[in-house]
Amino acid sequence: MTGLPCILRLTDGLRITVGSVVCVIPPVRLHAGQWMALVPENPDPAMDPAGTIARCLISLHPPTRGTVEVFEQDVYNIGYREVQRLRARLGFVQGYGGLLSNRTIRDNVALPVSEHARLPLEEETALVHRYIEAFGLHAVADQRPHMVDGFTRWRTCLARAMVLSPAYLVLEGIGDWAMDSGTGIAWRQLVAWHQTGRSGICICASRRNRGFESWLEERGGIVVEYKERSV
Amino acid sequence: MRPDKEERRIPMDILQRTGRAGFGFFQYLFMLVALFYLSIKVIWTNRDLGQRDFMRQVFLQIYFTGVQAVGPVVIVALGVGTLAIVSGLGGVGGMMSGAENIGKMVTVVVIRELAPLLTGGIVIVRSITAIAAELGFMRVQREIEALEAMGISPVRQLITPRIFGGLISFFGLNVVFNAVALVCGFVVAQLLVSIPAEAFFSSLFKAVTPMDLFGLSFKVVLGGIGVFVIACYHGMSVESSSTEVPVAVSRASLNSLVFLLTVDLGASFVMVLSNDANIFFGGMW
Repeated sequence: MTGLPCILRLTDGLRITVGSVVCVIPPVRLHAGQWMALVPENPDPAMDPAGTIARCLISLHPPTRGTVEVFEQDVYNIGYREVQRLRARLGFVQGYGGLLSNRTIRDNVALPVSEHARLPLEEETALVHRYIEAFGLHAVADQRPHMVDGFTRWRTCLARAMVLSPAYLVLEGIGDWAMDSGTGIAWRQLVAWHQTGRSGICICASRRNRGFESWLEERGGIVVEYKERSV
Repeated sequence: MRPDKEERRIPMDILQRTGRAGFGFFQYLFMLVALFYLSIKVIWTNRDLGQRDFMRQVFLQIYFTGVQAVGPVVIVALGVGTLAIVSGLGGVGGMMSGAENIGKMVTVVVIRELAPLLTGGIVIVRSITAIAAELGFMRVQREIEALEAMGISPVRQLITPRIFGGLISFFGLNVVFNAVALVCGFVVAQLLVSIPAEAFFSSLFKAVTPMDLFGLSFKVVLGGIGVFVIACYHGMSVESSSTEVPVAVSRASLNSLVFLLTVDLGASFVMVLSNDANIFFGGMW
């Protein structure tokens, strides 16, 4: 993997504090074309650190110790504007969707395009339409997030994260309902995107799902276990 | 006799509380000014981002705050225009009869004082509460975080359009209020005492000084910026619980009202003082 650009590098004994628990994450390198699942070694049913870990990997939550490098930049030692530029190149899928409630499903998918891509209106509309179709959102495109079910919200969030073809994609705490191991429409899109080899995909899970882990490993993915220690 | 420990503690306690309240007040003012500064700064620092969605947000705010409030503003302006003339001809008019004095009366009551205050009241009831609640719930539902994760500044996406769209709407609503109140005043004056249109409007234009227009603009611009910044600040102050939202809404509306009254009172006071100074210096002011 040395020839491929390094998307994510976690070094210096990364530790992330979540409530009364410290998550100790081993050194990791994620290259373009790779995907990785960060899973707890012995999951504590009372804790759900996946969301905080995912936020730490995209510069939203500083670690207690260690370095997080994205696109070879230490994300916690650069200015706000640089962080914004860096975030524009990545996609983040929140576990619960994280859609803007004052916008329709279509407008949610269109938001990063209109902010970062600055395409002519026709091209922007065509691009958004393509993703709406690809993720099976056509029927609900003009509805607001609260009018659709959780899985549709998650698909919309995935479409929004992928619409600008990000070089780094982070998925937060996916539940069993979303881990349909490549059979659902969203996963098919994700697998297709992985096969282009242009992006590093990181999945942060709160608990073990052996079926999903073996499915990932069969496709060349790596499963990284982190430890949870009480403070 | 020396006061005992308990008695000496009371004045210290009052001093500490006063100090804390004063510090808190200045800290609050500083945060409001900083938020307004940031909302302007992001226009420049994020100039490489798309403008289409930003403009859409500004127009949406103008629609929600301005266009949708025209009805209530017209109704209140009709009432105020009627009241100004009836009071002018009745109680006060007993002492100030004639078209010239009615013009003065309408100018003083409507343009100088009531237009910015009542329009501000309508904006606070309709929009300030809505903005604080919307932003508060967006914080609770982590929508602000979603924007941050996409590399989009929440200040540019949510606050700047609300402040500028709101300010434009506030200005427009004041124009509508004044126009409706003055025309309504004329109609009522016609019905009651048949004042000729020429006499009514010439007395009106004579009574309106550049200082009146400056004072009105000052109240509208400073008041408008202030109330929308306060709404955005309290909305964004919500952290993680939905129970914080009603508190934020109530603080935003109350503080906006106090701010608007302070600006109105301050501007009116300065206008009266400058008027007195003008008389004192023989019209040189």
